[in-house]
Amino acid sequence: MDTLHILLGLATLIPLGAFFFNLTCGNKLREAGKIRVGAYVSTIAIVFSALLSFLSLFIWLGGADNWENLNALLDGEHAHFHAISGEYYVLGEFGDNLKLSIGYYIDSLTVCMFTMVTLIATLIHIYALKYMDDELPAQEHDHSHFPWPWAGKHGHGEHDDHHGDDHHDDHGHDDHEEQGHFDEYYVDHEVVMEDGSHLKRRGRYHRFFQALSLFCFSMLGLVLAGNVAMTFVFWELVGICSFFLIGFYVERHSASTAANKAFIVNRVGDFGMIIGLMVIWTGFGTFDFGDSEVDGHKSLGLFSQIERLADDAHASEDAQHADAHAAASNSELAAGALAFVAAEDESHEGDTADHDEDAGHDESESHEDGEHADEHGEGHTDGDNAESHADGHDEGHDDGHDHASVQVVVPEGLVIASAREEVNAYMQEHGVDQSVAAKAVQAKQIEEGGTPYGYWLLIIGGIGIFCGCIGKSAQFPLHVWLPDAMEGPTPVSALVHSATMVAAGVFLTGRFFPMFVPEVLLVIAVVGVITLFIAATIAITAVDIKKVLAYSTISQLGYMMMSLGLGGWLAGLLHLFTHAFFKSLLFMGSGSVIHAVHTNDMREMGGLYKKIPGTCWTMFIACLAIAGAGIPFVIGTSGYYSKDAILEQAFSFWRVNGGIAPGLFFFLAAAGAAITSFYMFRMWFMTFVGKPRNQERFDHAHEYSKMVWPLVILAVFAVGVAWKSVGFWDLPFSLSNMIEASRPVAISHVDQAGVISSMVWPDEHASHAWSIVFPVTLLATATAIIGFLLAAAFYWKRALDVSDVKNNFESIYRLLWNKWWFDELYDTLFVRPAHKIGKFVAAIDKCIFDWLIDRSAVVLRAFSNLWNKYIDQKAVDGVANVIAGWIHSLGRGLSRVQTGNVRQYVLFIAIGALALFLLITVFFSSSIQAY
Amino acid sequence: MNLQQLIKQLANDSTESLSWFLPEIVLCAVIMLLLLVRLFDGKQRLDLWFVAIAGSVVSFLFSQPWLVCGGGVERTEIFTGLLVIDGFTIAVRSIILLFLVLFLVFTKISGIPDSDDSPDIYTLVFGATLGMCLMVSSNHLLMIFLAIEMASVPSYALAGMLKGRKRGSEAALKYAIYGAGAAGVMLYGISLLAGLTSSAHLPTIALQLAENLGTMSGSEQLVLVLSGLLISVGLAFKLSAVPFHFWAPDVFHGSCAEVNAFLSIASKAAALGLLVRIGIGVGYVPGLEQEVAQDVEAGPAVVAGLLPVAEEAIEPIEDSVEQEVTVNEALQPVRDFIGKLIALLAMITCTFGNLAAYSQTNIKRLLAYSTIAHAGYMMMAIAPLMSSLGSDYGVAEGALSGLLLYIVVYVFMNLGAFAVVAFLRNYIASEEIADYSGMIRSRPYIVICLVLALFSLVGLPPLAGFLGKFAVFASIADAFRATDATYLLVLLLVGGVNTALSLYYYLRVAKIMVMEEPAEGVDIEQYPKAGLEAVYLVAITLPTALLIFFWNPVHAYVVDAVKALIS
Repeated sequence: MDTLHILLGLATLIPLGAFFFNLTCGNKLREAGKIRVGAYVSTIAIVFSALLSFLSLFIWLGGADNWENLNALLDGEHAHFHAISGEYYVLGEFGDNLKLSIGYYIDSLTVCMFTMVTLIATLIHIYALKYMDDELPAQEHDHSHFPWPWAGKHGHGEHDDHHGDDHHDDHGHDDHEEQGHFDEYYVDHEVVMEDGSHLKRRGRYHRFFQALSLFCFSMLGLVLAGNVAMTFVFWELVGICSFFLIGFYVERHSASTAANKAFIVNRVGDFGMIIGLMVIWTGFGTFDFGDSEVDGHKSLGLFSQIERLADDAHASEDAQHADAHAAASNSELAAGALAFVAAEDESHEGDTADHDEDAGHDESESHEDGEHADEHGEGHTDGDNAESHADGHDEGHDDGHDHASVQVVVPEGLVIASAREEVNAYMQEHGVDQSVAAKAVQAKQIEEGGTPYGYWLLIIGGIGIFCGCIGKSAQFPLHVWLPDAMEGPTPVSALVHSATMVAAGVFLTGRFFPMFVPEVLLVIAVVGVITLFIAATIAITAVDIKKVLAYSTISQLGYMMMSLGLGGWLAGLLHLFTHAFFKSLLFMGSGSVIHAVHTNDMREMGGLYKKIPGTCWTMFIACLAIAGAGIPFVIGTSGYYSKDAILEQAFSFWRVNGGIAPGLFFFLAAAGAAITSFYMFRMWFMTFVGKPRNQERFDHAHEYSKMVWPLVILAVFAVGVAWKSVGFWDLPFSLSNMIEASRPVAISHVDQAGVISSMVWPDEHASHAWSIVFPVTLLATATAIIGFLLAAAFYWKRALDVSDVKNNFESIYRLLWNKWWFDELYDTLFVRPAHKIGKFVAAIDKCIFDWLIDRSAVVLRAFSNLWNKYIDQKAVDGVANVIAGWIHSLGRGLSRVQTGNVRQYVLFIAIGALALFLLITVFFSSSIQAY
Repeated sequence: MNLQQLIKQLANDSTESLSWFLPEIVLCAVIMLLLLVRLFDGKQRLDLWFVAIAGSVVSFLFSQPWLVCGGGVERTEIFTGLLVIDGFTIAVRSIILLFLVLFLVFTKISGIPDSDDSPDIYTLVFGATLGMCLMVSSNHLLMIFLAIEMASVPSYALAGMLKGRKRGSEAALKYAIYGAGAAGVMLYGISLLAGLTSSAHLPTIALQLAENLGTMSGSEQLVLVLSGLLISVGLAFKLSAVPFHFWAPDVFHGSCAEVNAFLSIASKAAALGLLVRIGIGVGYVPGLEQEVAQDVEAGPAVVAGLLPVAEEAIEPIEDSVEQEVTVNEALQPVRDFIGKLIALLAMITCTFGNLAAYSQTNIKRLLAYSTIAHAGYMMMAIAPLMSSLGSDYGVAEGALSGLLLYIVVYVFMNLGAFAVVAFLRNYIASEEIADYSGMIRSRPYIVICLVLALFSLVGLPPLAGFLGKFAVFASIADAFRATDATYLLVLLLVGGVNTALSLYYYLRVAKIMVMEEPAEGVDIEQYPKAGLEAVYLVAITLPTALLIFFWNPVHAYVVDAVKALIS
């Protein structure tokens, strides 16, 4: 276990080495005709990283008690896992306890992420070795099947139907001849030069792998990061890598604008993230996730500092008493109220009469539920709710834990920051130090029933951090960059824009989970559910195969976010992993398709199962996985486990809180699942089944085994990665069990309650209750089947006519086809005004400031000419030259003493000693007075 | 005590001492070996360089520099008090022996001396090194003189190493004559001091001074001052401090760059070590807080007494009361005298060296003045050491560790500079700065190394020279804050101004090499890629560039080294 941080650190650094190798030697190797070497170096580097990651995984499994604990988890017992955190290098320390360092935080989640990222990255490197070969010098090309690379690849979904054809007809055979003349060059057919010819440039095979290596380094660093500051640095690094890779075909206008768009949109999110970082720094005084101990001085990390009410029922009872009886003594308040509990545990319902009176509900409903009902002005069947509540609770109690609703304790720093005056007044009044004063002031505030001081800052901090995740994980409303990012080469889409980088937002949300107060979780859930639904609907009408997958990615990320937001920590992260496998498989499959038919447009495809069977069937498996197909309660693809878990949590949330709004989460997610199944199989049918819609492309299609076997490996994972048992042996190291081992202690086996919102976030373990699992599983399977059947009816059997539906629901179709007009909306709201303001400011700049500056420059020049002539050249230079001359001649004079005459030298010994004696006399007599 | 006991005690003392004396013994053995091998005509079969390098490495290892870590070396007098071993001895001795190793590698690569001469030359080098090792550990006036001569005499011969060169022989002769003169003056000073205090053992002298300083008559004090001055002349000669530097430019110009490196680095390090030894030896008794009876009045009177002229200026303080004063307090006037004397010499040396370097056209002469100036910088560290030794150990420790750090840095940067000069001489057979113009085109690696060494000599951050200078200047500033003595402020200002002054002539060389066109007719053929020279130069230059990253361990090491000396 002690070596884990070294192994993982090494796994992170090896790709960096490959990056530097390509950076420094790449061009030289290209000149020497060994352009492939760089790619091999990168590939070998990532293979080594993957080996190290697997090694770490095994070491972790064999680590102190981990194996026993995993088995205990399997039996439903409580088990405690320790994260390994520490520092590689301290960058700087500020004052006593503020410091920035390069650290690590390793738990099972880190190890699993490493394994997943390096495994997929390895496969994609290998895949790209073949896929990117049109960047190689021409003699290495495989020209036998199709003469031009990338022709007809669609940048956007909006272009007319025949765009691809035009492209193809225009340039088909000319290029064949051109290639002969420009052996060394890559001809980019998307870029038309001024003279009408196509851009020809040197191949950038190695450059691609160079960026990929840098990306791997950044991504692994992001996963390994031990503090938020480091996370942020790697966060930006993956951002810049994404920028490089999207803009790989930089000469194409669409690619360069897409790269810019991705980068700029992400900055919007990062702006929020920086605000979040500032709040954290203020409130906690540290960026570290875990605790660290340096020179015997122990400093608590964020996760240890964020306190929640102890999940002991008695503590909450005490606190309630403190709440109810305002006359409690000061000391009790300080103790009880810091761990304040505004919400109460259902099991202590009757204890506090005043709460029930407030709520005005005489049914044995919880305070929260009551208020909730008020908010929505809608009476729900309390009986049902109470029942379901009790139900969930019984399930929860099965594993022997009391489910207290816990709340976050506002850290002292934030209390002081938001109530500085009160704290100062208290300090002066009572003569206590700041910390005590903060506690007392906070206690008073809670006693008076106000929102705890600093709680809003905690919310802002959480939402700030989540803003970064919104940008990176392409959540509504910043989701617009991801579809455009498909301009990058397909392996990049598979690795960066589906499996790893975009999942980093989810990963960070999961990692940061204990820091989010319930109000933030609500925001996360809302953002997630909106994203998943909008993106899924857009995917229905997309015709570009990669765009379908892009929207699908956004939608799936929305699932994960929603799950996390509803308290489904494990479900969200499990879906992250399973999604990474089947989505990268889908992308690589689509790459294989594109490589075969040289177009992205699904309307040009069809019937390809005959030509590229390997791709066809692996993609079918992936479609099954993403749809969550499985035999209910027996076994299923990986998506079956993760998606069901998400739906279960949504259902559990609904059941606890009741009402329409919480229910929307579940229903939209379920509807999303059906839509997912529909558009994925639509894509598959359109691509592989039916009659070829473009015979020429069909004829040229060809499959490369080098590109297929990575698909097969991924397909295996897409099916089996989430399996929990083999035969009758329950796997202790199943993926969900491994992730469960990283569950933050603070949220383990507890419900959470908000201060401002009145909802309750049920403990995730409660969602495993049979009364939840049974209906949800059936429903999920039903949605998948419905989606599949609809797709089959439309695109396979042609039982239903697509254009019929299109015409009947013209407005909805247009809404979806135009992607809900988000791009247009942002264009009008932000881009155009920004341009207008920019032009206006530029005009002011030009007409007023420039004029002023020009005038003053003229005056100044005239003045400085005069100055130069009379003052500088004559006076200053003169003086400087004279002094320099003096020093120089002094030096010359001094070295003239060096006559070379030895007799004189010896004489100088005597003279020197004498002179020294005299000098000492002078020297000392002056200092004697001072003595 | 009868004779037998005495002999027994001596034998015991010697055997105990020998374990500390191993590096010197190895050096002696190598000298014997080099001489003997010649007798048997073995040098045809065996390149004696290998014997020398092996000997130097073994000697370096025996000097056990790692002992210092953690301040683990107690002050130990060996050979009945003739020599003293402490962290400082070990550190400086290790630096000198490490330099010897580097130097031997350097001579092997540069090819001078050739294999015919090498046994002689290496014998001389080892002899001089032996003397230097003794210098830094000597604890006795006799030992001091012997050590200085042991180091000097081989150096005279080394200066004339290039046989048949008129300039070389002339330089050697001048060196020898000048050295003899200085040695004579110093011997006179030593005899005066020994006569006054009736001892030659430094701590005993210190105790004597502490007891008698107050009661000395004016003439006795005059003699004391004179003896101090005369001894300082001998040291100043070794340090090439102005005005006893006259040998340096001529010798550096006349002898080859290899010898220059040896004289400017090892010899200077040893001389500084000796200066510290004498300064602390007579001005401070380590670990001794024993009290002596002394007149309170003596404090100012002693200082006044050092200068009869100013005696009237001092008013007697109240009644002369018998009061208890510790030895080290009583020695404060001695320390002040030494500190001020050295500060004065340092200021003159530094300023003179820098100014005189301005008009030099020969790189070796320029570097000669540069080493003079650097001797000045290093001597500056003695002033804060002496001024705060009795009062503020922290500052004194800082000053001494700063000096040690400076020496370490100086080894690498000066060796780098001279190595470049030697390698370039092998290629273009010239040592004129003008012939270096445009050198960057043909020999970029060498030039970059030289430029780095020069920048480091100026003290530009982040190179090591900056760190050395910073440590020394910082200790002066600390001492000024602690004691409020004006001369320390003056010293600091002079040091700062000098650093600025030195920028000009170092950068001039860099400018000529990098920015000017190659002179007509100068051979600018491409230098063969990365030979042994380049490897060696990079190995020497890298420490100066990278020290800033390893500042903490190095600093910790030097602080450990000086701990036992002044606590």
